[in-house]
Amino acid sequence: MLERQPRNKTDFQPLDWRRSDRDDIMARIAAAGLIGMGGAGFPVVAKLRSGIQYAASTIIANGVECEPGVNADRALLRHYLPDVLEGLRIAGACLAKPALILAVSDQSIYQAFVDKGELGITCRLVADAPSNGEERTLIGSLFSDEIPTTRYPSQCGYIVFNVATLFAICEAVRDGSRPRDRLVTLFGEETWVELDTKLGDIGQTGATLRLGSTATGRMASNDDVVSLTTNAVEHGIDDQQRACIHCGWCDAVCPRHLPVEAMLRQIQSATRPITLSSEVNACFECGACVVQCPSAIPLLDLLRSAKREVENERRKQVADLRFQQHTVRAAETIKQESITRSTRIETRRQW
Amino acid sequence: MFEEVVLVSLTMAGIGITLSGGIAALAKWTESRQPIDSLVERVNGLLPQIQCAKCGFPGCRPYAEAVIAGERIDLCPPGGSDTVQALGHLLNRPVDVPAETMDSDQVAFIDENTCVGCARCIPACPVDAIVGAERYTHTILQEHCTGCELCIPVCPVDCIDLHKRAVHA
Repeated sequence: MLERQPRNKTDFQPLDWRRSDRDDIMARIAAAGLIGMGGAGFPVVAKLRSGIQYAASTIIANGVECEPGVNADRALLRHYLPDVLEGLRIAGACLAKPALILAVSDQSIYQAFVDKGELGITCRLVADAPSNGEERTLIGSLFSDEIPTTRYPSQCGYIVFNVATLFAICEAVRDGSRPRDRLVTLFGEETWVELDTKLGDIGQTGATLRLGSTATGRMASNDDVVSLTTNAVEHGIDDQQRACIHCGWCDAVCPRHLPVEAMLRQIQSATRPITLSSEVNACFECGACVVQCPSAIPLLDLLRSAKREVENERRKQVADLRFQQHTVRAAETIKQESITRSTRIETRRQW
Repeated sequence: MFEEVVLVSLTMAGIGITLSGGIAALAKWTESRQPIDSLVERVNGLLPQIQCAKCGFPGCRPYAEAVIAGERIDLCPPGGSDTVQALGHLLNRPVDVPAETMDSDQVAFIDENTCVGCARCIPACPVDAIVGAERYTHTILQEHCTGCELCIPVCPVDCIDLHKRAVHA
């Protein structure tokens, strides 16, 4: 069993959500300051409001964990399944009788759910492959429905919450407590970690700390803290980077079918700007290529920096264009003013 | 018959010679024009496009033109040493470390409780990123703001601050 610091006091009055108004539940969720704990950190209340506005008919509890080496969501589902399901029902109470779906990628959790059975909640098993837990991919595999990249799933009838978010919703509403800790895969072991714990205080420090899994995590230092969106703390790739041998494994494994190897060549060459910019932006950072790479190239770090570079380049072009237009317009304004002035001087009354 | 064939071939040859001559002339003309223009473009591309005018020119493009005309390359504070090095490499000029540097990753932010709607900042913005009209509260579009700081000195109530640009993804 996972060890968790007991709490002695609650932050709010526990709320009997079955007898409460929708607005009270939403106000409580807002007061607890809940954000999506799957990684993106989208505010929970904003997602629910958008779901209400667009009459979302489905809420999906996303327990599909596909980052290699991360098991925080699995551990949560194993040990706290009733709380997660209650969180799902609470979220469901904010909408007009939506379908409640629990999506998991772990056979044993699926079996445990099916054995027990839960009224009004359906459990779906999804293949345990990289990127299957991404919400648009998940909706695609569950309902064969494609969400356009210009819209949120909540505007298209689906609300997707990570299971850790639902657990936090349950604790905030039923028990009246703000999220104070979260389940994190800490160097391969699932542990409850208090929020705002510095990585330096956890132990096992090193130059290669990562917030997130080995493959997809961001480079971090000892001063970075565990936040609501941290699902893992790991070391980076434990291997010397070697030259790219153009084997193309990264291309083959990319779930978005992006030309990873071509992008890497552009990033590593001195040719600027990066012309594969839309491809770079289409990467959703699943880390599948990092796992595949036989030369231990930190592809995701390079792609992330390329994304920043592409964005910076776009911003520069816009600023240049806007400055040129501004200059032309400002000159015209000055000319107009001088014309107005000279005609006024000419037409003034002679004394 | 034979005469017609000769006539047609001569005509075709004539057209061919004229066209090729024309194309060659055009190519020569574009070649003569291109280097200076594309050099300005390349220098302009290396500049940070903040349009802060701290170099003494009204914006990045005018400075790029001046650099081609022989102006010093170390006048850009937001670009810092990276820009000077890139410019020195491109133009094959000696590189000196710039005298002052400035944070190039910031945006301006109007405190709407203090803003009196005087509209003085609006013409000062080189990229027209400020929304508002006289006697209406202004706001700054983060999307277009370059953080050039030009709106700050013209504000009579000092309601504009600089914030770190929010980074997504």
